[in-house]
Amino acid sequence: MSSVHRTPVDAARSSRATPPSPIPILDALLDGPRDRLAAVVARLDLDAGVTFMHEGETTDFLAIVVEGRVGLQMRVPERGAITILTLDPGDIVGWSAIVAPYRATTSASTLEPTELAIVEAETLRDLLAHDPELAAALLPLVLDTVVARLAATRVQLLDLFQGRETDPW
Amino acid sequence: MDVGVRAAVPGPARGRSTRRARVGVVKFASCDGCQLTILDLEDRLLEIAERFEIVEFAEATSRRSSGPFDILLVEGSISTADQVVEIARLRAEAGLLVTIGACATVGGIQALRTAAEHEAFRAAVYPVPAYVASLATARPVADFVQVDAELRGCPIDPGQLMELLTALTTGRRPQLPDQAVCLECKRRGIPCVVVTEGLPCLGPVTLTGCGAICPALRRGCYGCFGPRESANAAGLAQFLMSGGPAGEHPALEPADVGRLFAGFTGAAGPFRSVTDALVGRPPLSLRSTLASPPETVRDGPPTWGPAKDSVAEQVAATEREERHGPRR
Amino acid sequence: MVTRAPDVTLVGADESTRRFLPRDRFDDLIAALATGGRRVIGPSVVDGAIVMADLERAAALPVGMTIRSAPGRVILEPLPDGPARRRTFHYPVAGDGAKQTLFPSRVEALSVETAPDGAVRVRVVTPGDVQPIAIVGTRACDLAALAIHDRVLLDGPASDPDYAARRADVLIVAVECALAGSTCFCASMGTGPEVTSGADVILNELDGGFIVRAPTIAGERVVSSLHLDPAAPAAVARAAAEVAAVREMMGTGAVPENVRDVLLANLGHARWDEIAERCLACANCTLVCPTCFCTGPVVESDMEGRASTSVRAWDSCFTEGFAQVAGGSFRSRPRDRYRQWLTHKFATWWDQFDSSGCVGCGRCIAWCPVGIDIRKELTTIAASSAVPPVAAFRDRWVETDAGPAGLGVADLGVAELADARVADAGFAGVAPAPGRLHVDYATTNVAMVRQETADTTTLRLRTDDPGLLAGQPGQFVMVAVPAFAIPPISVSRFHPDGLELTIRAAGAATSFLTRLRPGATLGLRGPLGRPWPLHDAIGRDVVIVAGGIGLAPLRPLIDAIVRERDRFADVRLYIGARTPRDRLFVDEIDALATREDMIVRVTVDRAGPDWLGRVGIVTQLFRSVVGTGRDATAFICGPERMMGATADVLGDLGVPREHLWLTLERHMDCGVGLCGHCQFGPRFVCRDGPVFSVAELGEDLRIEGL
Repeated sequence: MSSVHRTPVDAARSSRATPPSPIPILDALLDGPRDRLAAVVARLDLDAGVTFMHEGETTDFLAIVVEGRVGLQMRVPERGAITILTLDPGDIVGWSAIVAPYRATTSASTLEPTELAIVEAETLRDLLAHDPELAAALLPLVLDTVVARLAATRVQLLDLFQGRETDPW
Repeated sequence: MDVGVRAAVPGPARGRSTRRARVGVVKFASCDGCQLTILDLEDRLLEIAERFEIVEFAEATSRRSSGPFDILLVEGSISTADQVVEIARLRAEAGLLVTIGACATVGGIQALRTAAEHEAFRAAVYPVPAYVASLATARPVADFVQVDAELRGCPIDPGQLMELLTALTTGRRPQLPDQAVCLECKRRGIPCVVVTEGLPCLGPVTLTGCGAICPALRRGCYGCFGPRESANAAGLAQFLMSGGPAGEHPALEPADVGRLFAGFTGAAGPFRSVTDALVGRPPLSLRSTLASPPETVRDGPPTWGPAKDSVAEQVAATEREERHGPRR
Repeated sequence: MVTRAPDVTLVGADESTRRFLPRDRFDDLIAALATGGRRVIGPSVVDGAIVMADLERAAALPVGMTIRSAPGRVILEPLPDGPARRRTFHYPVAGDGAKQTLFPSRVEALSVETAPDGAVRVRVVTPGDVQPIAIVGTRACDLAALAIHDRVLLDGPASDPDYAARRADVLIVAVECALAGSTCFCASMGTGPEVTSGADVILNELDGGFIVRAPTIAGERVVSSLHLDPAAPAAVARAAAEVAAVREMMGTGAVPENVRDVLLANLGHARWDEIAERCLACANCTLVCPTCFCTGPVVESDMEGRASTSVRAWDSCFTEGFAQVAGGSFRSRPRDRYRQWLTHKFATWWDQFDSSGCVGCGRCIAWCPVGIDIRKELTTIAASSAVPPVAAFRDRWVETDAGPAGLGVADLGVAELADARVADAGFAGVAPAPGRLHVDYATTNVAMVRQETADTTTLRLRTDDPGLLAGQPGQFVMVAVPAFAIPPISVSRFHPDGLELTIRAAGAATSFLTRLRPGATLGLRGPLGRPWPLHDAIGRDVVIVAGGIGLAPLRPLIDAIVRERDRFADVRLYIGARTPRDRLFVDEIDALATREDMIVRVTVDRAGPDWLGRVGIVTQLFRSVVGTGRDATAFICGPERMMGATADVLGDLGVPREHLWLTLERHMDCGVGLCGHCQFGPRFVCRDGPVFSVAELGEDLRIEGL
């Protein structure tokens, strides 16, 4: 049980601060694959309001949000760019970098100053094709992201918070 | 078909307006019995008139007025091409459209023709059938326009009508039960006619609201309020043919059971499925119905489907047929 | 409050006090019962059945008649020629017992009116001058049923005022059965055929008259006034032999022995679907059942809408509306309704009232219009599987600060309340509140109205009712205004001089409430229900997850935590809303978000381009948060689907099931466990909940139609 305290808490730091690696999701990998992946990871610091992935266009890289917040947007002609999901540190963006035809299904832009850990798309595909151990470790993590998005989308479709004019009272 | 009350009913709710709500009462193919039920509210009519301005009421006044109506009570089923146009016009002029009675809500007794040979009927009844411009079907109003609330019954129950009007003036939801007639029998302490006398009774599958009039007079319910929600008409039909689990009930012939469901609300889905399965459709031929004494028809075999099929299977077969055409 | 007369057993009511009442003196017994204006009720032939009716003369009894019963049949027949031909009670069981008389199908329960001064007054209606009643001809099964009704309607956390009044002075003249029907199985349920308790006078009918016993003082007073001769030992023996023969005839194996466990272990049995093909869901079984007690309100109002009466009418779990809430019905399939009836009667009744709900009278079999025999159905289900014992509901139910028997504070004085608060480790707002739930309404005034969103309004109410002021976070109130049904509404904030209700216009009554203006009054009853067990979070991390209107019942909890912030470790608040415009209490939440000692995250399902906050479902807010696990207590409120998903995710993050608390929504008409609507398995959501831990709920949330 944690002690009773009243110090300022910051979830983004206190609960996710992972000393061995500042890139949250890579923690889950074994040493070997993690090191081989870390070798090709680059850091990208972006200001707020930067669109780094464009719906319908080729995805340049797969990224893990390290700090900040990212919005996934889709363009609806009558309504402009609609944010359909926001991503927090630890979330993956750009899974289309490894799924043919490698085209982004949404746009992605930063909603606040954001740090990304990125792997260039072709490099990553090449790595996955030739490093089965890494592929076996990384792909479930990516799949997990896709599954979570699918599940969330279904729940959103249910529109649970919608008012219904049928109560019995 | 089973519209119930779709939404909290808008209308002259408390505190909104001091203007009396404009009410119209119109009819299509029907006997006017439901309109007479309104007039039967005698001692409440003044109270009603204080709050509702009745601007159109064919049965009560020769005065004619046009919309818009805050509330439009519609009696009768839609049976002619002109009526199809008229109901669409009225819908556009009505704030709240309430269908009243078995004809308006499920088609009424005339909807039985939907299952028969319309041309032959017409030719048998009218000397010059060409003068009679009627559709081949008599259908509920809800098949054509959106209905906001419905009062079932043949005729409607004056208490339910008062409840609707009271709910409209106070802004609350009208309390129109979704329960079987059985609950009314038990609450009134009426001994069940099925159990005590072995009579066939549609009460278990029929919507209450009538106050269980027929069982109170030791008659089986004939379903004039139509099916309730989750009406297990197939289960009841199966029971009526079986003689009961203890063999203590009369076992009815399938065709008789089918006709039991073919009454004022026989066009309603759950009831019609039973009739279709047990009596058959369309071979319920006009010629045999008119030319033969009823007994002949009564004794006739089911027109299709082996009698040993459970009703549920036969109902399923009918529904299949409706989707995919008759099985050959 | 009126309570029923004590069941005083007369010492020495043994063989020596048995007397003989000749048949031709039965009128004298009726007259003796009627002394002092007592209304006498007894069996009578009406419309081909034997039912209870006012009884003035013995000739009105079903003399020479009997009943032959079978599944789906009750056949009234003359007794065959022979010495028993003149008997009066020689039928198995009447169409009704005491229920019609003491728990009538329709009674006026509440009157709600706008007084001339404009204030809404709610009055609990009790029958003004209930005549003392004598019921003649009651059988052992019906006496057992009466005892069950007493337990349900009088002895629980709340009493039914109407039943209490009618039950106050009832004299029972019981008859031991000399004949069993094919549908009778009281011996299997342990309730008969011998009359062992609950009767004031016990009759055994013989061909020439009656053996009479009077086990209570009230009964003895009646019998001794008749100056009867002692019964002959041979006659006493003959009567006993007839009752023994009835027991023999019925046997004792009609119902599987471990029926409770059998049913609870077979909620997914294929037999439920099979029964649903035959069952018409007509509700007859529940309405003839002498222990069924579920009721629903019918509002009768004048056209002005200034005054209305709420009628308490028999209702049934076989109707769709029974389990209706804003999103639909929890039991839309007749299969689920039949399962609810049978499992309640034979299984969860034990959890609720520590007895079976069935007394073996067999009415549900005889009066089922398609003759479904529960004995056969139970035996079939039991035959199919080995059954593990299912833990009793109470064993899974964690005693929180206010236990199931005492969630309200109605009968506590203000001083006692203060004491209770001090006693509870000094934590204000989560005081234990023993006492009975009350059924009275207080008039409260609308002091302020705040429009929260397009369809949601907060009413700030003022009251000096000590009960209402002593409410705890998570509790709800019943809200009455003339002409409308009475919805349960969670309290969204407590003040020293009142409380707040945050109401979404989801139906006619709630729409009306959201349109109220300052100065309006309404009737309030409560606070009701089990509060959030805040003490479970003391010293621990706190995770609060709210979806939509679910933030309202959590707001008093948040208030309490903020007030005593240093008693908790990390505090995290996650809020989901449909759109940015549907967020509740925006300013307050924004203010909380600026605190350094709390994490506040808000997400919406959908948003326009002008929304810079989070988009997505609420579970995504803490998907990647680790470290909240074992040491956290979570409080969750929102749509049931959302709460289930949230509990799953938090469970995966390590939060123990017994520290995951959520609040269920079910149809509630009474709020105190009397109307029966809100049952969820063994629980009355209104008084055992609405707050439950995931551990308490077990797998029940995953069972469709429970």
